Amino acid sequence: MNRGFIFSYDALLFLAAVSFLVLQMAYLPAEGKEHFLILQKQHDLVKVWLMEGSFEKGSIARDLNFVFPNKSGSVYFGNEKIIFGSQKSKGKRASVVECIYIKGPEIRKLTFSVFY
Amino acid sequence: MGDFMQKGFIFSLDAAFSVLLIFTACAVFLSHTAGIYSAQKEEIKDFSEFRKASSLLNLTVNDRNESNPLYGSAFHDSGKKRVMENLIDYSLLEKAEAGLYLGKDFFLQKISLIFENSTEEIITEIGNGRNCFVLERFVIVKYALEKKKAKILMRFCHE
Repeated sequence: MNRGFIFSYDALLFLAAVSFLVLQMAYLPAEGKEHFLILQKQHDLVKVWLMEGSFEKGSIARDLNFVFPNKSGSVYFGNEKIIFGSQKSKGKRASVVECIYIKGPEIRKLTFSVFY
Repeated sequence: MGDFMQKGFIFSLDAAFSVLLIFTACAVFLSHTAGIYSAQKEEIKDFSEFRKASSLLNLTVNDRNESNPLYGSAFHDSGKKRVMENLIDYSLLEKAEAGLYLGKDFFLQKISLIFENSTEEIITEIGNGRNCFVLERFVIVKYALEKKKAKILMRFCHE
């Protein structure tokens, strides 16, 4: 302690540069709103289909185009595949995927994805 | 101290350049920090309003409150003894009134329904606002004799 330690200008500059970089990385803009809204609408659709009790392909396709008019995605239900919107995913963000199991005469899996 | 003043100190170009660099780095750092603070403050305010707005719409769609339909307009199925989420009781929703303040100058300006044939029915609307945004949910609207699929829209604005 009597001898102290050498703290050069170089070290100070380095510390300033590192702090600057760390602060820049710490700033992450919120991007979750759209993801949340899509997920909420997906839940709404599934609830409405369950309430209706039928998973008729034409009706599902109509609902999808009504709720997501400017988006694309797909719904797999049992052996059925329903595609809506333009399927060109180039330039679009990763899809929001919802996967649920529906109990009926047999258990069927419903996978629902939307690109945004 | 006296000794130091008598002898002075070495002022090299290197030292001057280093000090200049440090001050510049500090200035950039402070300005960047101020930028981050300002952006975060705005984002937190936006997010807080978004959270309140989406919670209100969620409440309207998923709950039932007969004294204030904004806090719940879902249909109560007496047979099943439960409130049916996403099934809107039209007779209750039509009593809703816009104008609820969710912040100092942030309020619910309009509620409307958009049906599958693209027709819009305005349930309630009040005045005008600025910096508005719309949230929507997919529901079934239950009338006395029929049910219709629709999107329920809430428009939120600033005064």
